[in-house]
Amino acid sequence: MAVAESIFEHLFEGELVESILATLSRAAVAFFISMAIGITVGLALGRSKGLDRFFDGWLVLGLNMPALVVAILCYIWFGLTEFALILAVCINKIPNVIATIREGARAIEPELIEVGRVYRLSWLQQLRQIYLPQLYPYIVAASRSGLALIWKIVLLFELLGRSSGVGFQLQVFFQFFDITSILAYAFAFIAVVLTIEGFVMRPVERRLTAWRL
Amino acid sequence: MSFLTADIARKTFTMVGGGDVEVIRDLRFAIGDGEFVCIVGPSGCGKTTLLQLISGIDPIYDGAISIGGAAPGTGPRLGYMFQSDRLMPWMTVLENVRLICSPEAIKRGLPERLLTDFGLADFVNSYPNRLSGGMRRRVALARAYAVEPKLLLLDEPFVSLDAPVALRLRDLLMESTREHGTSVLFVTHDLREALYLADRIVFLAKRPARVALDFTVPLPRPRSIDSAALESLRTELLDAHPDLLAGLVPTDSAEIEEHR
Repeated sequence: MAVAESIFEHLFEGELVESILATLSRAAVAFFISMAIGITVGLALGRSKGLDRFFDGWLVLGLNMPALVVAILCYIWFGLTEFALILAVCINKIPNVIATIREGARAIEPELIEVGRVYRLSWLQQLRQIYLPQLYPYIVAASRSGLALIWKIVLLFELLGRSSGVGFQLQVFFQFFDITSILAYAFAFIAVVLTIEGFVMRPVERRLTAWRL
Repeated sequence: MSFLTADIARKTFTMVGGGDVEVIRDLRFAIGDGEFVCIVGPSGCGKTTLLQLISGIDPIYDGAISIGGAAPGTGPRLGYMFQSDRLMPWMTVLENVRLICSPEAIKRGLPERLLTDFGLADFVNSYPNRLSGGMRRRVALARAYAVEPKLLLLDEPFVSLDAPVALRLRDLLMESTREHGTSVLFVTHDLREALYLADRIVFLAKRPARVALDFTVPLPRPRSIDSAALESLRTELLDAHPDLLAGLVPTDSAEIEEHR
């Protein structure tokens, strides 16, 4: 009850909405950059054995690099800036996207690729009509897990080095031991995340896999 | 005047464990304009490989192939019907056919017209996995025609279909090739099917593939697949050349097709 009251209080005093929007926009920017780079590199690694051999070690390193180390280094090198935060989130997320998309690229049917070649489709048509649709399930999977990961580390990195956003607010409440406000922020934030999952991710997924029985 | 001439001196595959396997050696034949030619040979003898060379999918071989005076993959458009239908499962029937059409052909409604001709008007918006095997082959055949090909390559397209469905599809194929004046290269290991369809049959010998016999089918059209004339021709042919279909189930050459 106290938590619900607290949510309303924070909502109307303004800083809750502001914080969530700040966090959301950071997550969104990091998400789209990570997906774009991850899909491109993942597709290249999945289709080329040479590239895959060369980058495999780096990928394992990237996948296992502690998020905190990346964040601290970014903040030290680039200052406590927006750029450093986005960069740190992307460095954490991109290896995951690459690993998922690489699996998808390896599973692409060579028989369907041949159809595109026999009928002399342009490379752009082959990419858009034959390669990407086969990657959709993997792209959806990468987006899902990507979003989940990004929320967590954006909050953490905000707490570490930014003066706005949900993470920063949580740190303030932590210092005052204001448990009610912490829970209020947590619930409000969870509600936003669930809304995005239900109204964006799921419909997109349904549309992309409509052809399946 | 031949439309297609193939003169393949040598085609080899490198095996996984090292070493080369010779699949084709000194294979020479030609197809006239609008001619329907069947390639008959035991499975694993390199028939699919031959189609891949002609279609330009596989550009590595010794020799020369000319289609309407051009090299494979550069000359006149060709339709290719694979052993399986190879439709894009995420596209509807209509989208599958449109995918390979020119914008101009889409504009004048060629995909819709072909699908209607092939009895698929009610299924244009269905996904392939909701259709029967015979219908999917019809879509694949419509797709092969949608590029308005000068040459149609078919790789055992009606194998694994039940007899009445296969028969209907064969008639559909013959009707449309006649109508469009398409040259056809039809690969099969079924001699009856070849005698039913072809103007000429090129028999291939076992690996490395080369022409064992070039046979002009003397039967008048229309033919019937279970007629006495066709059956006696078949017996005659096999009596004269007892080894013609030898190695129909070869033990040593099956791995090449799999390997591919």
